[in-house]
Amino acid sequence: MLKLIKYELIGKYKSFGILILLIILLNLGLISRMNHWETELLVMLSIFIGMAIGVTLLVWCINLFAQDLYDDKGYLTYTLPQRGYSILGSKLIVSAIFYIIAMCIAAAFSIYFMNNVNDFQMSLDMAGIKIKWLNIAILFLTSFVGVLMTIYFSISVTRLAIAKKRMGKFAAFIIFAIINTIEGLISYKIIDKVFNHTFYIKIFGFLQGTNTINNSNMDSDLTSLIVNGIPLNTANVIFQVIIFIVFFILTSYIIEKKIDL
Amino acid sequence: MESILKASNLTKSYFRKKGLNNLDLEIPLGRIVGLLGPNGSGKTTFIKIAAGILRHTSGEIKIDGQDSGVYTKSVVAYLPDVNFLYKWMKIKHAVKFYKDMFKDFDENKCKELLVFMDLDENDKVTTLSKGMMEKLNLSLTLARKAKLYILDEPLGGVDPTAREKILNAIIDNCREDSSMIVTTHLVNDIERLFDDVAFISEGKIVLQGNAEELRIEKGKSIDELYREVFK
Repeated sequence: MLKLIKYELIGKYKSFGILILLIILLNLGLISRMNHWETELLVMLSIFIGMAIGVTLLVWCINLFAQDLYDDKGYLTYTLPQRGYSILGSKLIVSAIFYIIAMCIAAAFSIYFMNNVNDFQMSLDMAGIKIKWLNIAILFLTSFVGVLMTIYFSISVTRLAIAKKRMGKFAAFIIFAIINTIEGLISYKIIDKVFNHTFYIKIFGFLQGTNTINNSNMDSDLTSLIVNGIPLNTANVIFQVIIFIVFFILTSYIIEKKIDL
Repeated sequence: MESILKASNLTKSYFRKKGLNNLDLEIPLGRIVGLLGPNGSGKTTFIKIAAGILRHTSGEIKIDGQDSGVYTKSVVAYLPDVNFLYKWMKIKHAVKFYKDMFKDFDENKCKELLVFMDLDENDKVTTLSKGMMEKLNLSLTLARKAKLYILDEPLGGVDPTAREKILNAIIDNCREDSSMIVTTHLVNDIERLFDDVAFISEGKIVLQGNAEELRIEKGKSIDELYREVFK
């Protein structure tokens, strides 16, 4: 699998470099407007750049998998003496690596702009609050890889029936939407109601001696978010992990045993 | 004689159409077999199944006694009739890639073949002409010490000079401990290569045998025989 990862990275580093350059140039453009535009607007635009790059990266990572199933390069990838899980695993790991790098750079710029908003930083300092960036990054990364896995599964299932690229991609989108709807219904209509044990991922930490929120103007949800973190239903998280593993096994099986090129 | 590939009642259905229809074929070890047939006869379908990138609907195919999978891919060197190399590659990257991915790949032999084919390792694969691409793909394929080589239309779209080079490379690199399946409809150019031939039509083998024996028995060249079978 390491060799597959190596060649995926070698093959994509140039276009990935262009994407990174784009993040840097756009944010530098924003930095040049620092004394001309409102700082809040710059923060918003910087976050928007990060989101746009995130979406671009998602499409890009989908193609990383789809191209092997729909283009001639699949004749090389799928005649290699490699197991399906190695091929799939390499695509997911490479996608995660690219996502981490791109998001770290985009986030670094956004944090830079946020730090320039005096009120924002001052309010955090006064409340003794520290943002837990690592936890936020883990939440984003797991969501990204989870969505990607569902998309890869949808593409491989569709490829069993439809060989034409355009039709196949459209059908894969439909399958993805159906899977998400079913998954959502099971999560929120059944699991959330039956199992109500919740744990929290903290996105804010407190400096010593300042671990109380005394702002009576804050609504209780926001207070809970700051004090406790993001609530996650334990059963739902286990369900998502199981779904990921099932999709990984099924997709690996399909690309190793069932794909017709 | 020990066989490297054995297909029995092999069928591939596409909805109402049949790509292969109860095909039986056995490839003995150490032989070069010409799989001959017109467009749409089932040649590519059969070799895609043998290469492990197409699933058969029914019947059985064994390569070196094994069902299609990781092992068979490790002993089969497949040359498809498409440009399958990754577009970002230079020739030297493709060589390195094969070296990393296939345990049976002989880098030195590949470099010799590249010199023989007049290919520059620093050329990008996207800048190569059809003939050069075919020569590169063949060099990579033949540089493996595989048990079974599958060459799909190795002369397709290639000029006569390049054809000669490709044929010479194939002849020079045949080994007694391996077999080769070559599909083509350019029979005249390539028939001197074959030990055995199998004529395929509508997904079935309609005639097969030792190339020399068929020539003597029918009093015709394989090319003439091909024209007679598929007229």
